[in-house]
Amino acid sequence: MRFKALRNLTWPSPDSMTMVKRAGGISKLSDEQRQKLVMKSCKAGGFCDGVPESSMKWLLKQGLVEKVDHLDRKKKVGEE
Amino acid sequence: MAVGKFGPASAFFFVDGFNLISQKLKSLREKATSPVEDLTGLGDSSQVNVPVGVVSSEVTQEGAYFDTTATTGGHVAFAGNIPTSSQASQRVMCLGMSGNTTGYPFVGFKGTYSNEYEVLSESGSLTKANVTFAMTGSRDAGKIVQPLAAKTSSWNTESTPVDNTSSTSGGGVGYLQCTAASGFSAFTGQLKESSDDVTYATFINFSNNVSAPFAERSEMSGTVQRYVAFTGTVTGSGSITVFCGFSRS
Repeated sequence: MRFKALRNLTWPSPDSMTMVKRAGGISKLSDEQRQKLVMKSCKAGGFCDGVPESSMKWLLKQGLVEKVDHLDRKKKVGEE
Repeated sequence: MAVGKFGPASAFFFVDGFNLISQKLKSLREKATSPVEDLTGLGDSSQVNVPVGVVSSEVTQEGAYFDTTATTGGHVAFAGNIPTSSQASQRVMCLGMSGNTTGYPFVGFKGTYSNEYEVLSESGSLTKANVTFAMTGSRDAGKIVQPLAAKTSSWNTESTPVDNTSSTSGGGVGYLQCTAASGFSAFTGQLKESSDDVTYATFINFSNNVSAPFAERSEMSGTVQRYVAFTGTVTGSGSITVFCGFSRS
């Protein structure tokens, strides 16, 4: 299952997500933590599979992200 | 949210990207009126007033310097912009009385005409100018998302978002005012929303523009999540001074 962004999105990298989750949000980070924060981004129309699962729920509900049929992936050799 | 009392240092006022506070206004008045109809009838012991459902707005500024400086002066902002036809362009106005700070109140207007421009020359005084604005359309009360500030590289305000405590479903209006720009070959501003203060999604894209002063008003419909932030993306090297506010409907 893949996810396509219908708007421009930004989200913390997997490594940064631990720090963000512990702090309770990006705005709760200390100045020192904010210096270490790494963000990922995706333009509208691109795949956004790396978005944190907790965020994916509200993005899907609001229609900002859509599930994409697995056939949109490049087929591997021999795959039908 | 702004609380407490405020004085003249807390006022700000932008029209089409012109920062009019720099013109040393002596007064700025913003008045919202909801006309009522007197429905008092026989048998009523007290007057009965009922709003007719139309809100009118009026803004006046008095005592500003008469300034002919190109691109920043009040005379440049108003002399050539008295509406001369019913097809005259509307102006984008934002003002506030409680400080230029994230989360503090501001008011934007959908359609503004600077329909009265008065220049006063008096013995013993610098020449002054007064302007009266007529509004057509809605008065949008909202919160500052990006306080007026000069930026020299791309930035965002996700570390200090405006927290509405809950989402809203009536859409809203974004206002962008740019008072100065130099050097950059491109600038785009975006308003972004988040439900969880983790992932942000763009919901308003302002047009690419580096020819200051300029302003833009952009409406959107539907849900707006709890947190709202601003992103400014620039190309090249230079400086740009920008203000952005958002009003939830």
